[in-house]
Amino acid sequence: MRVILNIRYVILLGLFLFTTGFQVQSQSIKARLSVEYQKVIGEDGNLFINAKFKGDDGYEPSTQVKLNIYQEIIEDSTIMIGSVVTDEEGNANYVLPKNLIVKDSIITHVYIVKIEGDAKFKNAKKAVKFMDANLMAEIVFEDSLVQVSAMLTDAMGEPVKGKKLEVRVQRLFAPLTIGESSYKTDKKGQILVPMGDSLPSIDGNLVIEVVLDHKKYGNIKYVFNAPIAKLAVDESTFNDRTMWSPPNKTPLFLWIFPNIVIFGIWFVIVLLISNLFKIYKS
Amino acid sequence: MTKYEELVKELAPRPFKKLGVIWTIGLSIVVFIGIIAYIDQIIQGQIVTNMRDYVLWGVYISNFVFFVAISFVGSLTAAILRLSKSSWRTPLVRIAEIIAFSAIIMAGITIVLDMGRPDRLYNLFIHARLQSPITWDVIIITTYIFISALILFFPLLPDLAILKNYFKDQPIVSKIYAWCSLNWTGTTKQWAIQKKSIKWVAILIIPVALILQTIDAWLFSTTFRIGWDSTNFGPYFIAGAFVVGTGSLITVMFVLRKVYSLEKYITALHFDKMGKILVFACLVYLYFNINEYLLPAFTAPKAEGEHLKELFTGHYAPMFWFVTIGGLIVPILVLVFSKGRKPLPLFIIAVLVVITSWWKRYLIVVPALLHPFLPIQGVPVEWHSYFPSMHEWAITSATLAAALLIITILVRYVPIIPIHRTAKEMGILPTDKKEEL
Repeated sequence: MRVILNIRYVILLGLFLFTTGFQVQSQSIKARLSVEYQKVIGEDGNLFINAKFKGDDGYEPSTQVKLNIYQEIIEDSTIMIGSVVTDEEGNANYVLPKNLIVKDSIITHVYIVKIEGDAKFKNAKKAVKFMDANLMAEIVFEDSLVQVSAMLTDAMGEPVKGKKLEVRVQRLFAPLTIGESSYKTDKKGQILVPMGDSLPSIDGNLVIEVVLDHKKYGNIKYVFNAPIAKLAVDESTFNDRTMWSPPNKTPLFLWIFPNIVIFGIWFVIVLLISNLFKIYKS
Repeated sequence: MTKYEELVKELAPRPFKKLGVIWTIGLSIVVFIGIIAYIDQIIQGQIVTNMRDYVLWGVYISNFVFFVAISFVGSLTAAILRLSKSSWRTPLVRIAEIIAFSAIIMAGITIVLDMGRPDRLYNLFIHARLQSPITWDVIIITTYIFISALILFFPLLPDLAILKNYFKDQPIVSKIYAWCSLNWTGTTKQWAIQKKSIKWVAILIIPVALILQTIDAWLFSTTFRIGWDSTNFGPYFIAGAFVVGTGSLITVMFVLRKVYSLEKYITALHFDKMGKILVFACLVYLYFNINEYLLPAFTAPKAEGEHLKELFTGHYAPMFWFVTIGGLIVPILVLVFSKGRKPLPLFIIAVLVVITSWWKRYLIVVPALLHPFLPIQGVPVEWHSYFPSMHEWAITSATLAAALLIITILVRYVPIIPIHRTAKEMGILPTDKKEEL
């Protein structure tokens, strides 16, 4: 009898563990990873990672997820180089030190981002491959025409032909594209883009960026200052006393003259009312 | 009975006859209906009006402008005629002062009606911007109410004292008149203070009235709107107020003359003089109307052109031409002839002038708002047109009735024609009341 009872407990315990384990397994969510290689010339490159999952209301950010970053050394051989955690928008940046990128025009760099052993999300991975490239740009003046000259080269300094470069100016909310949406590099790896009418800026400088967004090279950006802007004069009257200001910035003449008139009139009215009292008393 | 006693008897306030009682009850009913409509407007909100995002100043503001314009009559006759020492003014000034006082009181109330919730009046003070003509308007209307009351009250003092004695067989009435007369006994000091005060208030009311009309115009012309964006608007409003003020004075003069049989005091000469003033006012106003409409018709940009087309030949053309011809052209053509300035024809013209003046304000306010300064997308069809709702008509009628009710009540208890002054002019003043008014 005791043996039968023990068997029952064992079966119930087994069922409990099985169902609990199934529930844990079923609660794991599949996360989707996207990885992009971004580099601003003169700075470290970085991996821009986004993690999201399909929730009840469409895609939602996978927040506070630890992501391990691996570098592929030889085929199928990887070493973990670090880890990052996603923010509230499911984004994470991993800075790739310059010394990690070997300067060789035939080497394809491979980095793998993995979710491993996360309590909420299933294991997932995403690889990004890119070849190193270099981008240079400057302002050239030709017959009073202001142009942006940019050159794209590979890791060994050889020109890269036929790749699309975008020239744009950094503005407050979003970059402003100059000219066409993109220009293809010629056989010298160069583009020449006229700046057109001068744009205004507060200090006379424009922050120009030339951008390559390419599957093979990743997202490479060259940013430089160009003193070619029309100096913007601040015409805001926000802090001035104007006719359209709030009450605490009323123009002084409106404080002075109407109040003189109003108080002048009311002074006479008060005198007249006091005359009524005088009549009453006399 | 001496001539003086006869005069006092003729000019002292009299109880209403049957018609007067019906008139007062009728006005009270209209006011009561308006109060109910206003309470409903407060409960349900301004959705009960037909004012929407396009026409956000409807008949209430038109009516407000009308009242402000009528109040100008106070300064016109009461002050200008006083200061110019016109000898024929005596029977008219008090009527003018009563009209001005009732009109400016109702102008102030009408502004509150337009606000939706009356407690918003408080916001006008705590969030007042001195840059805004609305702030100036609140200040100047309050000021004008006080001045109108003072210019009505100071000359009344000797008459109230006369009435105190006249009603001595009715102790309560006599006591009230005694209290209102501020113990007036006609001492030299009292006469001196009163004379000086009348002079001050008569001087003061003229610039204040001009400021009031100008601010009223600036409420519109500072908004940049098609039809309102005009440097002409200040004098245009003053001229318009001159017309409607004179028209309303003539109308009330005629009615009171008939009702109280005052033909001996308000004579054909007074009507002739007022007719001349009215024709002059109409000519001045016609000049400003030509400025206001003809020049923009030549130089108008597209939107202004559309507005003028709407007035000249469009939806508002019948009203526009009724107002222009009926309120300006016909009065001028009739009143340039002396026969047109006889009491009855002048009264008919004055009534026409007052009615067209009311619609003139409607034409100034409403069509301009139908051309929004900034285009709005996806506008419901009903926003493209405006005609007041029943609530608006009920409330507006109540304000007009209330103004007439104030006049009626004042006429009931206050001498319409200054008794002391008239007696003085007729040379029948008893020796103990010989001081100059």
